Amino acid sequence: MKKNFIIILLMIGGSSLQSQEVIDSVKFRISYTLSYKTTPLQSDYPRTDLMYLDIGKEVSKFYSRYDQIRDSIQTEGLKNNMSINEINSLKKTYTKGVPQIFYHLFQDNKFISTDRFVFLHTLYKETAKIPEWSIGNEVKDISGYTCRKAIAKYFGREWHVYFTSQIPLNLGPWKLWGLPGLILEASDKDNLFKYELHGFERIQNYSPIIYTHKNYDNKEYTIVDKNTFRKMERLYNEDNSEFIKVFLGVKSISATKPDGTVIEGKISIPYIPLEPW
Amino acid sequence: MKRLMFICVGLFMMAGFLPAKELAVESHVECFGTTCGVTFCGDYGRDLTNAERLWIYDTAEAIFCD
Repeated sequence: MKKNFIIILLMIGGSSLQSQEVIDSVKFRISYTLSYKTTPLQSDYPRTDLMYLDIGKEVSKFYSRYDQIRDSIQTEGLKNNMSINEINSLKKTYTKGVPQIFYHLFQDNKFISTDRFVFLHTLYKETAKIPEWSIGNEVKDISGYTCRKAIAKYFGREWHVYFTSQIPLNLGPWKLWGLPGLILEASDKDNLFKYELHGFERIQNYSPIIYTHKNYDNKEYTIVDKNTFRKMERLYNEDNSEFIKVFLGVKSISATKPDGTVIEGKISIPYIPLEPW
Repeated sequence: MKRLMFICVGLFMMAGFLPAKELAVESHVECFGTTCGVTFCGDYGRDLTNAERLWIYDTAEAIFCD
């Protein structure tokens, strides 16, 4: 029964049926493998994710396919009154993904970024400024596309990308955009993040681009300014127990190991932000 | 004047028999067991929704087990 539940869910695209607003339809879907580090000293990328860039006529949406699937399982499980344990058992079999979602509104020239901190969903908006790209002469082939290298300092990191004018879409992974062709590969100078083309699809059947701004409990995401968001993000990852007390109003927190020892001190999550704090 | 004084004293005495209203402090502790054996407890001050429980569990897993 559970297996059938998952199969049906994935067949319908695994899209979350939380409170949502259709803002466009997908014309192109580019998938990227995201490889990333969680501490600067790691020699290799310990984490990977599968990211989708859905491009419509008016907007694009960049999100983790893995997180979308797990989120959909959770939403459908709750709607079907499954127990917490049952839902967690189902979710456990699927790879975790990053919860951040980035929307690019072309006409308004805006980015909308959403994130989830425990059960606090937040949203901030900013102007979608174009990176100041420096296009070089270096050329390489990526999946049969001739690509040229470009470099830009953007939101605190130096990004090295390869784009192809054979796909005349001036977009790319995350907030990277503004080149005369689709960005197929991107990495930062410090080798903390790497996006690599996984697939390119022209979507023929109707597939909505959904703007999710309410959580499962039908509560609107908390709108903050970018500075506040960055402070929340930092506190959430560097001192999670303090974050929970300050932003979620939790009075006391404790964590105990299997042997009964209480975990003392700061509780932090290994994490490197795309935009350095 | 004497009547007024007696009324005030009477009111004062009656006030002493009124039940003291205590400040209600709601406590609601929930604990989550992770796959790596760490138990994560918090006093949330209210009943949580199942969605919130699932998100807390995910956070606890990310902190202690990933």
